[in-house]
Amino acid sequence: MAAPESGDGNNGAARMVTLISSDNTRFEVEAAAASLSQTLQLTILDGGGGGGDGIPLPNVDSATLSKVLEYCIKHAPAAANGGAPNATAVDRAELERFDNEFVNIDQSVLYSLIMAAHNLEIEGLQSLVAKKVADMIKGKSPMEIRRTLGFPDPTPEEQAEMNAHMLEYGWAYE
Amino acid sequence: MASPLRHKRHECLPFDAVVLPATGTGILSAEFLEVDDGLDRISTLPDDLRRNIISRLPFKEAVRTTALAHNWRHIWGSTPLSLNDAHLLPSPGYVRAGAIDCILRSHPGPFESVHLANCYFEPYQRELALWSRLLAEQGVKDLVFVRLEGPASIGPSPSMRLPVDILRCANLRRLYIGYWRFPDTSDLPDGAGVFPHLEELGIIDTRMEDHDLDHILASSPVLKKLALIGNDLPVQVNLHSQSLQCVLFWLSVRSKINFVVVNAPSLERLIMWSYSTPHPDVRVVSAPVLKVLGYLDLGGGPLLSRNTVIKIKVDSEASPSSMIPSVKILALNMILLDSRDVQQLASVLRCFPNIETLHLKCAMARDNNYSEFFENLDPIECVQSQIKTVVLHEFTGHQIEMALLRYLSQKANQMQQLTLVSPHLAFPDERSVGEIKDELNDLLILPWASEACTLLFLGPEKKFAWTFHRASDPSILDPFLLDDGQELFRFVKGI
Repeated sequence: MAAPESGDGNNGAARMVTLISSDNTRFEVEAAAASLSQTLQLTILDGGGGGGDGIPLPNVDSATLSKVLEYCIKHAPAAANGGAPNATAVDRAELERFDNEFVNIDQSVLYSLIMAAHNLEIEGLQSLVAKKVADMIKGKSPMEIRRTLGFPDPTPEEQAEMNAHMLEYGWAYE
Repeated sequence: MASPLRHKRHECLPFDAVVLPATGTGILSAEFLEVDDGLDRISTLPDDLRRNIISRLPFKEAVRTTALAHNWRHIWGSTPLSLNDAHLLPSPGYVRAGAIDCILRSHPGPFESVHLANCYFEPYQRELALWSRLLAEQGVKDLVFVRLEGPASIGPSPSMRLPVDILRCANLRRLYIGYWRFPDTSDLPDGAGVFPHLEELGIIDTRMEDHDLDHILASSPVLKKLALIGNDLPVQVNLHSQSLQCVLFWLSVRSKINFVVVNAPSLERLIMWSYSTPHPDVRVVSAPVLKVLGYLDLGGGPLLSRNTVIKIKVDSEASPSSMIPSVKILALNMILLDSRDVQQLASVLRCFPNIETLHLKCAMARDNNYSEFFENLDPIECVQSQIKTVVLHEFTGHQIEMALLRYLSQKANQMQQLTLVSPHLAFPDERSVGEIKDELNDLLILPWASEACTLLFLGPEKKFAWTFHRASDPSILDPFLLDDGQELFRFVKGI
């Protein structure tokens, strides 16, 4: 991000806001990008986050916030256009490629992103991460899903319940 | 017995929100995401976030999550139900029916979306009654309820009556039904047949009395889209609706349907399509904001003109009462045999003084001295002062098409774009492209009426590009314009 540091830039320079992560790291970012978060949008519209103030985000650590902002910066131009109408096929393909790459991450990071997207109410990111988990589950048996998600090995009781379920809902496993 | 057109009718069904995975079998797949530290965090997500995840799974897989562990069991049941029986294929029919029965009984509701279009209902009459009751009680919002007829060996099945409880689903936003006999609406139990939220209604080959459709339209105050698909439909449709914006007749090949738009103050689109003419007879009494209309059938001499769509208007000269001044986009399907057909085309165009885009699909029978027909025409207002875009579909370079082009080039003062599209499945070879180019060059030497106009010659449109979904999508400004043919050449006439 190489945006000029002109403070309240009304003269063409994009307005910047500062976000402060739970571990006290400050992130300066264009207001348009941060406004993808419904939670932040109101504060920003009220003129918050500028200058030395910054908006504290006690639920988001710096590693997660930097990842969230990477998403917001990439998606801000398309969102400013009201989504798809003006976007070319190339732009859309590029965003899709970015999204696929973006969620190719460890489950611990994915988990933090799910919570952050939820807390900050970033609609596109909420869908993206939920879809990622759904894709991880798709096409697998319960045992495979358990292994994929890192469940501990089932107790004999749990195993028996799973077997009973698979008998009762046999069609769901065809 | 399933007809070949049946498949095409099924293509009209709404898309499903959930896309099937490439492999939905549950067979062990090699590709596992790294579990890094091996800790299960996803299970600790709040319920509503896990519901959000599950709502993105095909329902069979969503059901599987109830087997994962205790803290997952309740998630599926508390996610609004999304069921599509296409996801149960290729399981045999009785397994599909058993699964549907199990889900509808065991899911505590609410039902968001239920699509049943792959089920033989005949052997499950008792279950059907229960399912219908559950659908109504659980407030289904989006319902596809289309019968699958039995295999040929069973013989033609007598038509089944749509369970009355389906008409008690008062929460519906979208409803598609198919291959039923419609319940008698003059004798409905209390609370049935009233749809305060219904926005989209599709009826496929369903036998209903004329008054049944009247009843449904009258009791659906926010209905925006109505699609009548197939043949077995009401014979006389008198459209009265304050809310309808789009009406589609799709794949009906019988001419006996009389469609009268009596009073439709919100109707913007009236679209008719079938593979073979004639399209239904249509008469517009009052549709003050109708913008998009087509395909209408014209021409073909005395035999076919009996089925002419706006016969009343064609017979008489255009008078203010027969005009539809709101129409901006008009599509005509015409057979040109002789000068009467050209006269008829002119009469029809005079009924639409404000059209800006004209789509023409012409069939010609024999050669004739066509240019004369056009030369003797009285002025046509929309051609002289309104039309900006003309698209000639299935263009072959036939004499009469060239005569028409000549006429347009000399008369259409505002024409900015003239597009010629090659016939389906007949990609023109280099020689015929060259010949057409030569013919058009002759035309381009002459001065044109409009100051600047682009002439575009396109290869054939993609097969099946013109679909029900496209025709009924309000975000597509001109649904008749497919514009996906390869550009063969282009001229810019004027400045």
